[in-house]
Amino acid sequence: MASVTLQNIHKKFGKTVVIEEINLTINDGEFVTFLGPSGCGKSTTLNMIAGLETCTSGKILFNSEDVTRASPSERDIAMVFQSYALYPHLNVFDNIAFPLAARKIEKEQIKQQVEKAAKRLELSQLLHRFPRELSGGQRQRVALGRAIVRTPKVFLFDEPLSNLDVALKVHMRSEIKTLHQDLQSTMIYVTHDQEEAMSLSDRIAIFNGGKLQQFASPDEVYQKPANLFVATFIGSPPMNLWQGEINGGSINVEGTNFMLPQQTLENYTQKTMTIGIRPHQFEIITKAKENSLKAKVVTNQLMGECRYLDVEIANKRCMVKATADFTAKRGESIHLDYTNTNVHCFDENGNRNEYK
Amino acid sequence: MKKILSKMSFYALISVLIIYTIAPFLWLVISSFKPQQELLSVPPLLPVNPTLDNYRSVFELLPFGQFLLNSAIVATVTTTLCLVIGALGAYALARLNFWWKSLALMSVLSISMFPQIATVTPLFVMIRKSGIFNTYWALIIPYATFALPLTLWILTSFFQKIPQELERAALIDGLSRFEILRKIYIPLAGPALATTGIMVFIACWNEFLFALCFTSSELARTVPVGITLYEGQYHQPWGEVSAASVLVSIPLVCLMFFFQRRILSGLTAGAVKQ
Repeated sequence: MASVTLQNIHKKFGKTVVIEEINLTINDGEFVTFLGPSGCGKSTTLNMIAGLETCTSGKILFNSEDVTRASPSERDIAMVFQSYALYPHLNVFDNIAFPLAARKIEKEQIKQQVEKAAKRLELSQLLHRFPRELSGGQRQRVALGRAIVRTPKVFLFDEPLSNLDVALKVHMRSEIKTLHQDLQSTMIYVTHDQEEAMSLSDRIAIFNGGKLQQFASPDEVYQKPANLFVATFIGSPPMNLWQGEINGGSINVEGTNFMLPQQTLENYTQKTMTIGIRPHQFEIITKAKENSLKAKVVTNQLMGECRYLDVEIANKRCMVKATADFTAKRGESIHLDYTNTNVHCFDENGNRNEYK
Repeated sequence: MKKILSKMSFYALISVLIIYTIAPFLWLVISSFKPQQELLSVPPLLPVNPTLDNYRSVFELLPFGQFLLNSAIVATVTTTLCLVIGALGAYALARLNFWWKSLALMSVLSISMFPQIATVTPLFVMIRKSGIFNTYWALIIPYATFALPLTLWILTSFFQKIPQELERAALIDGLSRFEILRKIYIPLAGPALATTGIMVFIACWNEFLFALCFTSSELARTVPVGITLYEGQYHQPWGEVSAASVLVSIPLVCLMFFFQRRILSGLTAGAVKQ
């Protein structure tokens, strides 16, 4: 087990910069997710931690040991791939035993360890099968088995669940979570699925355009997104945003005034501001009151346990969460109250403007 | 009615194709069993007095067994050599990063495009000077010049189709590059190795020009050259030539039957996404 530190990591492919100045420390035993849209650099960063790709500049430390130039096998890691990457010509037993056999460990000990890992993942009955004879979920479990058969310093997961169907995904997710709780090892997990990131991680590192946007607990990235990218990327449906001009204690968006808490505007010098309110932060009220908003319903979608209303506020479409029994027709007007909740504020550069 | 007609024309076409490809060989087989007097008279197509005389004289007139042995040794060694070097080279070309990769592949291809006759003279001088004239090496080394490009190209494209993540997994699991080639690529490339192996073997087995120029005695002479030697000044040895040709084809036919399944899967490997 080890902590992982990335210091000033840069990565270029030819002249294209893919990773720009990444600094982060993953604590020993922590479960960290790299989250971001495709092409954001999260997989490249993982590959650099694995040693499958070199960094253009910067340092990678495992504990305090510099492994920047070490080969993947010297780093003592285990990795699970999206495509499982099982060796097709070997059966399940040999696949799981592979990292042990490569390290010239005694046959008897290999057998013990493989059987232990297989039991842990309910693969004991399948040890003689070949990868082609397994289902997707079973293959992924074999890939997990190959990782946990040793006790590496760090576990790396590269979108391990994205090839599975939804039901299996949820099952494997809790499997991985229990695995982390049992093994207490450092795990780094790459995904583009925010639900996965939210449910699994101790902390989430959000990437976009090769840069680290925010590195914080799931709760914090949701409640206090560091910038506009994180605000829109995390949360489904995404946060509603309005950009407007500051006008006294409120901001004016095309004639509609949004009241802001007093502290928000102290020390704020720019002229415009973007505010964000999540769909669930609105309260639907029956009568207009001070600072409530009037909105026109455009569509009304039932999600089962709740409803999402597509409404128009200040000439902009936005989403409002309502109870399942809320029936508003198209064109109907409703009143929304947001004064009891924390409105997210972002300055002209898109960075969070924290209340002091 | 239409269905039957189309089926009939289908089979007719196939029969024509089969007869077209197999007829010369069949003619050869039939001729090899005909005594001297019947050889040039058709009809009858089939031998009236079938005989094994031709086969007997193939071995009596010349050391044909030695020719067969020479051919087998030259073809086997060349094939092995090409597969070993080809696999190493193909792995590098498929998976390692170096800037002159495509240059290497292209120059290898262009070498294989030289007409053989253009290289005979310089090769002859080189072989003479290096003292390997009339040895197995005088054939094995030149053969590799046309067999290696073939091996390299087929194996490189096959290796490129092996998912890169397997390689990455193996690197993390602690294998060296060489072990990756040995434990993962070679086992997975079985069909490709069989296909290229057979193609190289056949090419070497049948090669005539180099074998004619770079050998001078039964020490290294291969079967294709040997067959030409039955001809005498007043003697047209059709019977012996037919028998020898049949004999030289048998190993190839056996080889093809033996590896048929592997070759088929090798030729179509990667054609569709598995």
